[in-house]
Amino acid sequence: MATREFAYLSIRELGQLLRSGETTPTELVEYCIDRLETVGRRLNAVVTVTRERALREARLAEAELASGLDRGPLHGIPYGAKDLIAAAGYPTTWGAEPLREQRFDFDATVVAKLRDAGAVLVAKLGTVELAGGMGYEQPNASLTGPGLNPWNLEAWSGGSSSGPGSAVGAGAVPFALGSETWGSILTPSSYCGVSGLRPTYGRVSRYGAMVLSWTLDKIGPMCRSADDCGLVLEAIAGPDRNDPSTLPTPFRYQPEREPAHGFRIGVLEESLETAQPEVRANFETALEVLSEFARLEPVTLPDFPFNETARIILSAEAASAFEDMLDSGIFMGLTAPEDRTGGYAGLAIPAVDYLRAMRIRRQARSALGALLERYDAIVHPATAVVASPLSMRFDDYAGKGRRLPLGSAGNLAGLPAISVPNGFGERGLPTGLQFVGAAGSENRLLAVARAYQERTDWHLRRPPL
Amino acid sequence: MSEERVDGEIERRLAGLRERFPERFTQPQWQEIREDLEQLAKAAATLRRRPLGNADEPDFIFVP
Repeated sequence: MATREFAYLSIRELGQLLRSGETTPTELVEYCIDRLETVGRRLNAVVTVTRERALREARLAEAELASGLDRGPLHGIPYGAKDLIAAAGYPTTWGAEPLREQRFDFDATVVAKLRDAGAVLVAKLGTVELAGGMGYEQPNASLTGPGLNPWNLEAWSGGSSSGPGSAVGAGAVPFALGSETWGSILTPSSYCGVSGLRPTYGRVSRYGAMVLSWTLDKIGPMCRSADDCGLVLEAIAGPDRNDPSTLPTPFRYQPEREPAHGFRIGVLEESLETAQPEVRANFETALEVLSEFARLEPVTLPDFPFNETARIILSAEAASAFEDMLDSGIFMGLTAPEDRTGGYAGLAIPAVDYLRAMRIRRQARSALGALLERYDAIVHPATAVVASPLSMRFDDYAGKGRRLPLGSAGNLAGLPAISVPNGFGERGLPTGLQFVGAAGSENRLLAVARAYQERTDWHLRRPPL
Repeated sequence: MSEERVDGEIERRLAGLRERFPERFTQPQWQEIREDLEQLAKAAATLRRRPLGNADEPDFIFVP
């Protein structure tokens, strides 16, 4: 039964329908599977629909809710996971054609945690091959083809969490799990008009997910709103003995304990000259909205070579994580020609270069921490441009300045960030607003984003599908 | 590091990779790898311009 419209409802709205008996987990799952098989496939957002597991989990949720066992706000809610996150028995391709048949016999910790919270896995969603770690330079870099943008089918979805961005943006799933090493949650969230949260490094276990960079990888939610991101984060966060990077304390999403106004926000204006005019204009308009509930002050980032430091660390760790596969030659079967050679230079990075980058990283993290002590968040455009046309290489569309410094700075320091929609740019494509906070400050960051979304409706807009 | 020394370093690294993967790549692919090596060498050169003291530790902690 797919005659009712569930596509763009929030997790809380779906939860109300489930608890009032107006729908069931099975109906929601069938609706999402139908939309994934049609709209999702058209967008190249789907690798595998996990139909049998989804229907089994939905029937269980249905029985539990009927018997009075309520596992919380995600109980009976369908979701998708980026296909570098393992789900027992199903292919986990890492987006790579040579790994099309790769399977794991266990659930990643995040999938297990969502199962325990009653959420229902309906699909493994598309990703740029190897999370983009081989240096792809254009959209066609996945075994499922280029991720298409629900707002404009001639535009890219962003990456590397391309499937989660497209699927949530198209209303094919209420939420999805993405991952970010350097921009891979915030970029597709911004490009596809969804709300995406990059948690503090160590907040969420990566066990069972592909490693690109041990010290940079994070898993986080991509949703319809900041509030939904909070609900999902609480379910997936927490210590895990299988991931030594995880923080020792659990995370509780506590919107009721956060203020709704009176925030202090630092406005980062550097690099705005590299942004498209519509991105700049939407940013200026968003600042006017923020000024209704926050005190805004100009800030500058401490002076560090953020991009170069991140480049060395990511390249060295990726080369080490994939060394056996690079040796084997298996990557010669990757989709993007540049990805067949892109990982090899990292094998030749001297240890002293990596260590120097890690020494500078410590200083940079300390300086950023001192800056963020004074603010609830720093705000900046999530991306300098809207999604590029499918036919263009990224640098040809956006120029070399496409990597905004706050992206590398925030990822190097392990800081949480959220991208929320704040308007539209050229070719009818969404733009995003990025808030970055101090390590561990997700509740405050989400409060700022919620306050913005209470005054705007960009996150409620629907693409013309 | 001077420009000549950077170029020499890139050639040494490229030679090491050619020795490790003698049959793997075409000439245009080796050129792509060389360009990647150049980018990493430039990034490393940028990092070397930032002064560090003897006691400046890397950002990870060894836990015995």
